Amino acid sequence: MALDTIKSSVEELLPLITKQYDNECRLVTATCTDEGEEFRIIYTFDDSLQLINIEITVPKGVTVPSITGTYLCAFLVENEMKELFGIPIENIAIDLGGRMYMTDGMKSNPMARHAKELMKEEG
Amino acid sequence: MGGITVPFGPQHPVLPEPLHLNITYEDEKVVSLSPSIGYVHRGIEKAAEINEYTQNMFLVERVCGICSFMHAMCYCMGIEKLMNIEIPPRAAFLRVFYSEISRIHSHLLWLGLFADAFGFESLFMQYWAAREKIVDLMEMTGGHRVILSACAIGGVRRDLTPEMVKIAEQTLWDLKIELDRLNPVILKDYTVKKRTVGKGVLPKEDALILGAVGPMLRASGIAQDIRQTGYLVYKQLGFEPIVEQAGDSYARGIVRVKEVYQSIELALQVLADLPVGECAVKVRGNPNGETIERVEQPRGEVMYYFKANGSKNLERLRIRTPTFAHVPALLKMLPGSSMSDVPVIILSIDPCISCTER
Repeated sequence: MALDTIKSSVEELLPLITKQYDNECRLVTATCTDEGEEFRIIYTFDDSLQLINIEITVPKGVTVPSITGTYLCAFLVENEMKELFGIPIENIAIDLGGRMYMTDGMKSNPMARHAKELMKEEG
Repeated sequence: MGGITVPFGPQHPVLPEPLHLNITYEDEKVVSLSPSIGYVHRGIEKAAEINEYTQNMFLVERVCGICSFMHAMCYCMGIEKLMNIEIPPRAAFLRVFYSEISRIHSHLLWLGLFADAFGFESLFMQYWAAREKIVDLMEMTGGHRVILSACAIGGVRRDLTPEMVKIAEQTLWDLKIELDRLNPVILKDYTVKKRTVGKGVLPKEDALILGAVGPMLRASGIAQDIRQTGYLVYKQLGFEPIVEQAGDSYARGIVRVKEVYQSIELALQVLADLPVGECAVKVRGNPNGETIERVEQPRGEVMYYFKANGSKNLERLRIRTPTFAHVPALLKMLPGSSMSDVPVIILSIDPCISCTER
């Protein structure tokens, strides 16, 4: 069973998000999965109880634009992805600076596959 | 004039759980706030990748004590979708029964806490005394008072005997009579209205864009409830959401009061129509593929994302809980309100930090 998604490039993401806003869709959440060399992010919207999934795939280290300019409510999930997976997300409206869940001195991104290596580095 | 920033929580008398807001006031009016979560984050999504998929049901029940059954149910529904499992009709009815008594239990708990937030302690105790009837019912039918573990992949673990059905029906009727006596107090009392009407208003257009769900969304005039999709037997039951227009703390209270009555009706309907037969099917194999499942919890929509690869372990389990969706709405609801109203407004979202800190 595969998830029904609209595939987008990073460049096309914000216009697509704005389109959902114009259509009065509610942002349900964003979900990140670590695919090894890249991250996959699925932005899920609710349009009158129908789900719309917008998917982007980004190589690790590539910056992703924040969608909080359109959907302010995404700030929690974007901070979470930034911290737990290590995805660089720029211009988050309320940026908690990597300290939403993590404490000072912690560098690893516990949900990412490379977490074990980072934890070893941290000792 | 510069404001003064005061931390609200993580330890605060009105909050049973640690939510932290840095609130900036000018005189006694809120001008801005910055929310912060993470004090008790438990890494449940990560643990779900390490456990076998069959064990995760017991793990996700611990996301939240109050909605434990519905977390397990949403998880089971997602796994069943991935594995093409059709549950028996009796199991679908029993899942609705357990869901609705969980909703009654949650709303009565909230009504008590809400009364306590504005200092109405006798009402708090009355609501919690009424809630005991439901907790006793859960113990009788599920074997536990809070964490039921009644759901299972393929159906439900606990069936109801005819005697249990009779006792459950009587309990629900008794509760209805008790609520008829209690609810006019919270709905009509002058002091309750004084503390809640026009407080923490979330306009319709903001509710949608800020991602509000459940009673928060419906109290702002948006008729949206995941039960409208007709999952399990909700379509058969002719479910219609309860909607209020004002979008304030009082409207959120009215929605929950009415939803308790609605849940009593739904639970009674389910017990009356309970089909005969098995309550679970055997499950073999492992899930494979990717899907999203949603159910309507007492606080609103919960969403589970699953990614499985045919092994015993899930590659990814993502849980978006209702309170996680409600924290951003506070950014709109609190500014402009007075310092004394802050606890009541925060309580009006029915915050569950256990859910948020999954």
